Amino acid sequence: MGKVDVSGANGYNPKLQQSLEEYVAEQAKSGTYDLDANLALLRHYDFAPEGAKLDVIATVLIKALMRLPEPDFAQLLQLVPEQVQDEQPVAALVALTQHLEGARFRDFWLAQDACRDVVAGVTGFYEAVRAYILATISHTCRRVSKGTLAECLRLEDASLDALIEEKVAKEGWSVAAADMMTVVTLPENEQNVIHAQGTGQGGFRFEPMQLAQILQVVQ
Amino acid sequence: MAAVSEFTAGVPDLIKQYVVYFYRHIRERNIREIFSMYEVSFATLSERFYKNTTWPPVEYIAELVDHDHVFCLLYKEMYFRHLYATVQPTLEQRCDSWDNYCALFNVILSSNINMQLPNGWLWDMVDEFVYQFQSWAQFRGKAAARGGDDLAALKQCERVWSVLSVLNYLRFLADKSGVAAELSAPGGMERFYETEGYEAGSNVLRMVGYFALVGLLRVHTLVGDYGGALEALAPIHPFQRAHLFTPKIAGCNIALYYYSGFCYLQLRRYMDAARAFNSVLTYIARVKQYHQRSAQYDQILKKNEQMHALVAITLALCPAAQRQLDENVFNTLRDKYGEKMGKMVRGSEATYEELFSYACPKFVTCAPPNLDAPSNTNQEAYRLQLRCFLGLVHEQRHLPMLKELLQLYTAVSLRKLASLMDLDEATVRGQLMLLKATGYCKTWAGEGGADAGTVQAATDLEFFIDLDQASGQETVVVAEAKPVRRQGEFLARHIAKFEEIVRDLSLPAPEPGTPVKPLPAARPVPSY
Repeated sequence: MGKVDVSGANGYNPKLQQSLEEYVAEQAKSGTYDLDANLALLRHYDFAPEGAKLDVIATVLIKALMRLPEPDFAQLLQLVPEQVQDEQPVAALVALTQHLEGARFRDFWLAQDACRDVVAGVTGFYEAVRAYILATISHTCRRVSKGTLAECLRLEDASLDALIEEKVAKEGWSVAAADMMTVVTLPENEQNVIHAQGTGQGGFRFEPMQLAQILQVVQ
Repeated sequence: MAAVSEFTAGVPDLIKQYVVYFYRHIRERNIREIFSMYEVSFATLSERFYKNTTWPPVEYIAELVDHDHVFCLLYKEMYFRHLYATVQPTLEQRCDSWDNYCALFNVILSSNINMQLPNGWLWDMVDEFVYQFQSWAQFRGKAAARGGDDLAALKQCERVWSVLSVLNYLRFLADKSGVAAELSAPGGMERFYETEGYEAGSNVLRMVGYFALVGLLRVHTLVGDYGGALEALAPIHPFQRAHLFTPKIAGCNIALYYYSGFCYLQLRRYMDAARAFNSVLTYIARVKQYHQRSAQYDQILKKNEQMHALVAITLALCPAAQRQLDENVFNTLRDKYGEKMGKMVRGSEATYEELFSYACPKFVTCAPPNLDAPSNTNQEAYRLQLRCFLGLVHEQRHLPMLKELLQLYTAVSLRKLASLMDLDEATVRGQLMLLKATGYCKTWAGEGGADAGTVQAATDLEFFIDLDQASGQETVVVAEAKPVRRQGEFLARHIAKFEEIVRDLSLPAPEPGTPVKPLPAARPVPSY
């Protein structure tokens, strides 16, 4: 069992459906991911819904959820018929993704309590979700309280401390304890800094071609 | 025309002549004549003799053309296309047209064709093939009102116009034509652009193969598979426009950008969506005058309106995408949709829905309806796509207000922001993160296929949340990107424009009777 080729006409070959389903199970177990193959599988389900398997759809969507902030989940959901979207566990997964994308992390953790069984079979689910939450926070915040981190990531003191320690060592975080709270300083990145504004871009700048044209006219 | 049977007797002489000459020109590979008979005479004769009815069935004219198999298939292709445009096709006619396309494509795939046909016609074939597939899905989906006989007849047609067969035909045509390898080879795009596929032997398979790529883009879009759509398009790329062939065929070019732009919009790649729509709206503004008398003129105008609506949606969701628009496109947009854009920016979901349903493609429900318990399924695919889209819009409903507030400050405490928005602090923190996330989207970065890209900034507002160690208060620090006025570009364009006017005025008047020679570059290259 391994990668299933879905390029070209293979993408429409209904005979590949079973291998694709097995491939999904393998991705769930091994932590690998293949969007094109999963897309091809949902396309088969869309074309011939009598063969669609709800649990496989759910696994595909969980794998896509773990890819946030990539819009894979939304992309795959556009191939899942409405009545299937209203069924459990798909409906719950849609809600989970909306909470994550809307950065309503509290609501996410509350809602996921009800889907523990569903995500249990997918390797690395919580790691992927926490990595996404952490990335989202670090894109927006320069400094953040440890309490906020704990709430967003839902980590106990010990695990959070371990995580922070690791980040301090590897990614340049720093920690300062004040009277009221422990403050974590996150490193600067492309998103959480303010770039210099409007330098040199406005005003009179000409492309070489335009300049040539103008010079011609002036002559 | 020796033996004229009773069949042929009822056909007007002009039509007989038309068929005979058409057949002869095709046999003699007289491409200019074929082009004019296809583009001009067919429409004129249709208008005169068959305005509200169909052309004579193929049996009526077969004798005139030696029962030539391929010509009869071609004739029927035109016959059915005219039929679909004129009357409501019956189940039987839909099946016959399907069979005809299969037979025609099989002949093309077996490479037994040595004729040259106008590229415009070959595009029309692919375009009509996909249109009739879409029309079938609508027709079949309206199952609720059918009687027993009707349903029984429909059950016999399960294989007709099935989405898999349609996709497979397009894929095989594209693969068999070898057009992907041809275009990817060094200098391949240039050669293809120059020769327009006519250089060697027959142009039919390679051009049908090329157009099939755009056909695949469209079919994938119609079923809601946007990623697959952009992938299937390769090696055609909407943003690699040097030597792009599609602008030579207006319908094909508009389809390419309408569907790829829509895919980008649905994949939340707003910068790319705006870029795609911008380039085709500029194109339409430039060429539409040359199509005023063409049968496609209304279609072109409709797509033009729809794409303005899609740009309006794109800008409402991602105001920074305005950077991708030319001044003219933006001005037209403001005239047409200024008010509605304002409503969308203020969060009116009804306006989003109105524009989306007006401008979206006719989505196709792939699964056949259950004919034993018939209900209408033809709107299912549309409702699904609308639901996904409105879900996104709903998620972002607070952002415009948040953004407006942020623009008032250079620094504001989270608590104050929360009280202004009447939400709690954690929610506002979340909303800020959401706003941050929407300011970045995947954008094509100059390499890879149409589906490739990297995450790039798409925002005009920069901010971050800071935390004061002493007071424990969270503050949002804000800086608005100042609109960069590009006077240079503006001036350069107007200098060039002015110069062009002066040049035109100083040209010597043409001799009476001589055709006016078109100026280079400003006119589209006619394609046969």
